[in-house]
Amino acid sequence: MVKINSKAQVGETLTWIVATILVVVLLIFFIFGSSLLSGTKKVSDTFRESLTSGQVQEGNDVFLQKSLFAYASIGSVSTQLELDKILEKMTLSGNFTGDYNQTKKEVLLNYNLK
Amino acid sequence: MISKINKKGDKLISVYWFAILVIVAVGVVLMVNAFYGNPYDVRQIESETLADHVANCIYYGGQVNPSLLSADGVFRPDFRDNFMHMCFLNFSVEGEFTPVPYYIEVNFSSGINDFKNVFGISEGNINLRPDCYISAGNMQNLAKCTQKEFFMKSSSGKVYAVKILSVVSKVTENTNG
Repeated sequence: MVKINSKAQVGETLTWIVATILVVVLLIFFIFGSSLLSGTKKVSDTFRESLTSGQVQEGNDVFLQKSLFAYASIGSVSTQLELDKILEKMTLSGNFTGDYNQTKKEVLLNYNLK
Repeated sequence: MISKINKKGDKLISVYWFAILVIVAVGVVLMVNAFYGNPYDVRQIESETLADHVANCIYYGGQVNPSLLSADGVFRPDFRDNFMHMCFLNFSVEGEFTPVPYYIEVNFSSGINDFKNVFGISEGNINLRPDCYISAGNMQNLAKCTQKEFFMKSSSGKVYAVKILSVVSKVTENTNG
């Protein structure tokens, strides 16, 4: 009777020890994870697609808008064509963010309204 | 006899649970501290905002700042001299020997394909400029830069390419370093 009891006690103690180790290991894992995540706390101008509305203007690059405004107000057609090519190339190489054609449409519309 | 052993076991279990509770509480405190103790790094967006602000100061709504270009299309040196005041910028810092954590540089070149500078403005701590051209392992301790370019048309019909470089240092405020 006493022998059976001691076996059960050993079994139960082992369960407790394993559970304790599991709790400690999980805690260490989460502490490590949170310290790793804290290193990525950067604020940038790119937002999740789900957070931005599709109805908002797509062409929101200030620099592209300014360049396109200059493009729209140029009198010479040949200079306009040349600038258009350069701006398109600059957009493709990543100098501007946003959709080039969409921004161009919006700026030209605003310019004509002006 | 049995009830005595049970009482001892109950006491032991209570102490154990208390110890686990303390361990978990300490762990949660450590996790929150590790996550919220680190500052947000806003230097990149700050330098972008600075570049946006300067661009708007130079060319806004299809109009070049009248203080920058004279009626006959000549760049005015007094705009460069009073650039900070004209563009509502203030780089002053507290403390006599504290370096300025900002640098701004604007270069104008005439025409679309001409890369020759016709006018330039620079303000702030020029020592931060080399940080923009270093590609080191730990970039966290380097200043953040934004390099932007756009075209503007003056009232005289001339087109200028404007290049803006804005740099923000503020390493201690934005990192753990």
